[in-house]
Amino acid sequence: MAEVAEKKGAGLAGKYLTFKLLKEEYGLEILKVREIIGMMAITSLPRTPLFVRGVINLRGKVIPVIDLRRKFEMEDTEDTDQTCIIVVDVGSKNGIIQIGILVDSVSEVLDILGEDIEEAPTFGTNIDTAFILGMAKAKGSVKILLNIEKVLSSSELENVAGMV
Amino acid sequence: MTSDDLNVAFEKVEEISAELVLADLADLSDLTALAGIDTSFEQLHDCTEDARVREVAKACRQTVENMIFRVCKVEEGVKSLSDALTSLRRSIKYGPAEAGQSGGDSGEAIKNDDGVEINIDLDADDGIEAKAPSAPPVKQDSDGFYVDESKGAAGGTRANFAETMDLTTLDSALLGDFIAESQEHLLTANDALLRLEAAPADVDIINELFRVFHTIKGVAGFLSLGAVQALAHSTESLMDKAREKAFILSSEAVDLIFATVDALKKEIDILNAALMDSMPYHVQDGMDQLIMTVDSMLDNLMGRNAKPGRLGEELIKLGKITQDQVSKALFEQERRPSSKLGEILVEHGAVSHEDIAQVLEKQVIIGKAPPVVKESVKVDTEKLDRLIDMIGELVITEAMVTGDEELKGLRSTRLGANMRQLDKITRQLQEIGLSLRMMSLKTQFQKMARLVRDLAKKTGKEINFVSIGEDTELDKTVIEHIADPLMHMVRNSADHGMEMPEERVAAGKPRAGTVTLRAYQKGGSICVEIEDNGKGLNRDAIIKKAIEKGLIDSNSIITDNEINHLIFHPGFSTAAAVTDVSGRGVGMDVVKKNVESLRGRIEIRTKAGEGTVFTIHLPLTLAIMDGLVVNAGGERYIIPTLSVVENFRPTAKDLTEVMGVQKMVMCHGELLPLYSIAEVMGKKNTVIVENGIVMVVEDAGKRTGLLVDTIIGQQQTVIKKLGEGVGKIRGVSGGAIMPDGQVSLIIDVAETVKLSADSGSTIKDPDAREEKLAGTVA
Repeated sequence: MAEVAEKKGAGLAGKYLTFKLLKEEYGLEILKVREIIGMMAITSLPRTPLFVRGVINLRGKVIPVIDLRRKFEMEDTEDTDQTCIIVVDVGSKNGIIQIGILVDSVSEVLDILGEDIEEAPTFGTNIDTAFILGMAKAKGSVKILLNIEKVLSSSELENVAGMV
Repeated sequence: MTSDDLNVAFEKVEEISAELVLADLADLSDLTALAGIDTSFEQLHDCTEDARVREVAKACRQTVENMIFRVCKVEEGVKSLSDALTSLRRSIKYGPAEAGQSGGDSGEAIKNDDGVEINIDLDADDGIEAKAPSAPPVKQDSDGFYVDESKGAAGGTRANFAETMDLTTLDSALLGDFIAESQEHLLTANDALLRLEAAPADVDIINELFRVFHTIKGVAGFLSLGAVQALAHSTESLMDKAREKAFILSSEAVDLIFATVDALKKEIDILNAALMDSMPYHVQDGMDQLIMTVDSMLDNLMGRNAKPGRLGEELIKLGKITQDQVSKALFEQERRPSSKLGEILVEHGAVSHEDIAQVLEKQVIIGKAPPVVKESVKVDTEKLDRLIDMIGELVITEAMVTGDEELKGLRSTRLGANMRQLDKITRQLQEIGLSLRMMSLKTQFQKMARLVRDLAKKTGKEINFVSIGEDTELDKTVIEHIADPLMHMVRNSADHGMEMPEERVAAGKPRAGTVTLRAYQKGGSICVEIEDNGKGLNRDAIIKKAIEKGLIDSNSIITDNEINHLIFHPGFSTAAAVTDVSGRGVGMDVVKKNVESLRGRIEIRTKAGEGTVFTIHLPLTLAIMDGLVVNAGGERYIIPTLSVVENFRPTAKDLTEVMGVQKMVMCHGELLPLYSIAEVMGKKNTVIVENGIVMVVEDAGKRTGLLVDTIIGQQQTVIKKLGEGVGKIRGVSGGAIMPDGQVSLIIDVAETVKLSADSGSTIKDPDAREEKLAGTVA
C-alpha cells in the first residue's frame, strides 16, 4: 500500500502554482497554467450554474470564468484586490481550451517532491475526491493538489448549461 | 518484342506525362525541370528496342533541347511534347493504326470465361503491335496494360483501370491538393460548358476546357488514379480535336461533356470521402461505359464532320443547303483557292448573302478579353481568423489609447496628428482584414444556372435563367452555408413555381418562364433574391395543408405574410406529387434554419399567377455584425440590427394587460406581446415600461416587442463564441467585445422570443428605489 502511494506521489512530483481559497491552499500543475490576470469586469451569463461567473475578454478571445469558491461550495466573499483569475489550458473534445478560474489570491510556484505527496484520503461520501490529485506537504503546510481537468470537465459545464 | 518491354516503355511514358504536367504547373523555364524531362526521354529511348518508340523519344529529346536553348517557345514545346506523349501512349496501347481512336473498332470483342467482354487487338501491324501470331493472347489487366493471358484472369470488367485502390500508398497531402484543385477545375469546366452551349465553336472556351481535362488527367496519372485519368483523357482527346476545328461540338457532345464533368466530380467526391475515412477507394459504376461513350462520340464526330468546312456544316445544319452543294462548292474552291466558300455558294445560288452573314455571325466568337488572372496565395483559415481577431483587438486598443483622457489632456499637436494617423491606419487595416474572407457569389450562381438548365430539360419546361450581381461579395462562410438553401429555393422556383409551357400559354404568358437570381447590397446586408414569373404561392392550398397539419385553426385570422411563412414548417409541401426533384417537404424548413443560423431572414412576396420573389437578407459577414447596443437590467446587450423592425417609446395608452399578467403593446394597430430583455437574461427589470424603449422584432412573420431601458447606440461588433468551455446558452448567440474591452452578450432574438413565450414572462415594474439605483449606474 505504501509502495503504491509512493509510486503515485513520484509521478506527481514537479512544479505547482499555489493559490488560496479562504484559508486553504491549493496547487495547480504549472504546465496547465497559461497566465495569471488581475480581476476584471466579468459579464454574467443567463441560465448557467452559479459557479459560472461569466465570460471575460482575454486579448480578443472570450473565455468563461469559473468561481472556484462556488464550485467547491464555499461561502461567497467580496472580491478584493488580491482576487485574480488563473487562465488554465484544459483538454476537451474540441482540443485544448482556455478557462479562467477565480481564486482569492495566488501564492507562489513550488517545487514539490514526490516523497512529500500523499494520496488523497477518502473523506466519506460528502466530499468528491476525484478533483484531488494528492495532498502535498511543503513549507510547513498542506497543499491540496487539484486535478483541474476534472474540476473543469467541459462536458459537465456544457451539460449544465444545456439543461436549462 | 516482349510485352514486358512495352510495359516498361508505357510506364515510362506515363511517368514523363505526369512529370511534364507537374512541371507545366510550376515553371517550365526552369532548367532543372527541363533537364529532368530530357533524362526521362533518354531513359525511355534506352528501355525499349521498339523502333517507333525510340524514334519518338529521340525527337522529343531534340524538342526539349530546343526548349532549353530557347530555340522554340516553351509553351509550344510543351504542347508538342504532350501531343507526342499522348499519341505514343495510344499507339503503345492500341497500335499505331488506332492512334486517335478508341481501341474498339478493329479490335474484336470476345467473351472470356467469365462472360465478360474484353477487347483484343488483332491488328498485327509492323509497329509496336507486332505480336507474333503465336504469342499468347493478351488482355487488359486491371492496371491498364497488357498482360499475358496465361498469367491468369485479372479484373472482371472491360475497364482498363483499377476498380479499388488503397489510398494509403499515396501521399495524402498530394492527393488532398489534387482533390481541391480538381474541384476548382471542374467548377471552371462547368462554367465554360454553359458558355460553350451558347457558342459551340468558341476556341477560347474549348481551350479552357481542354486545359482542365488535361491537368486533371496529368495529375491523376501521376497519382495512378486510373479511372479519373482515363475519363479525363478521353474527354481531353475530344476537346483536342474540337479545338483543332476537326468538328463542331454538337449539343449531344456538350451534354456528354456535362456528364463527364459530373462523373469526374462524383469520382473526386468519392475519392475525398475515401481519403477522409482512410478507406479503400472504389471507382463508381459506369465509368467504363462513360469512357466508351466519350470515345465513340469522338469517332462519330470525326467521321461525320471531318470533310465540310465549318461554314458548310453550319449551313447544312440550318437546312439551307445539302451536302452535295457543299461538296461541289468545295471542289470548285480547290481550283480557285482565292475564293471563299461562301462566295462560291452564293454564286451557285445555293444560299443568300443573308444566310452566310447569319452563319458567320454565329461563328464570331463572343470575344471577350481574357480575364486578368490575379495572383493569390492559399492561406490556412485558422491563420486568417487569428489575424482578424488580432486586428479586432488592435482596433479596441487603439480606441482605448486615443480616447485616453490623460493623453487628451496633453494637448500636443504632434501627438494629435500621430494619433489621427494611427486611427486611419487601423481603420484601413480593419477594412482589409474584413475583405480577406470575402468571396464573390459567382460560383454559386453558376451552379444554379446549371441546376435550372438540367431541371428544365428533365421536366420539359422552358426556363430562362438570368443572374444579376454575381460579383457581389460575401463572407466565405456565409457563401458556403447559403449554397444549399439557394439550391433548394431555385429548385423550388423552377419545379413548383414554374408552369409547363402549355399552361403558361393558356394563361396568356410567354412559353418560356424566367427564373432570376439577383444579389445586391442594401445597407449593411446582402440580399439574394430568387424570382420566378410562375404561378405564385397557392394561398388556399397552404391554408388547407396548414389546417390539415394542425398548424392553424380553420377560423384563425392570420396575415398574408404569416400564411407565406407557413411553408417554412418542417414537412410542409403543397406539391401534389413528390417528384425526384422536389416536393418532399424537406427543404424549406432547412432553408429557414440555415438562413437563420447565418443571422439572416427570408421575405416572401407572391402574387397568384404572376410569380414569387424570395428575398434572403444576409449579413455581409459572419464575423462582424451591425447591432444596437442597449441597456437592460444594468447590463449592456447587443441586438442584431437585422432583426429589429423599429423602436419606440410606449405611452400608457399603448399598453394593455391580458388576464392581469401578460403585457401587450399596441404598434401600428397591431397588438404585440411584450417581454423584458432583462428578465429573459436572468436580471431584474430596472425600468418602468413607459420609461423604457420597445424594440419590435420580427421572426417567422410574427412580431414581438422587447423592452429595454435605453438604447446606447449602434455599433459594428465582432462576434465571438462564448468560451468553448461553456455550451450553448439559449437566447444568446455569442459575445461581443465592446470598445472598452468588456464582453457584452449578443441576443438571439428568435430564441429569446421563444424562451419568453414559453415561460410567459411578466414584466415586473422595479420598485422606485431600484430604478433610481439603476439610473445612477447607467
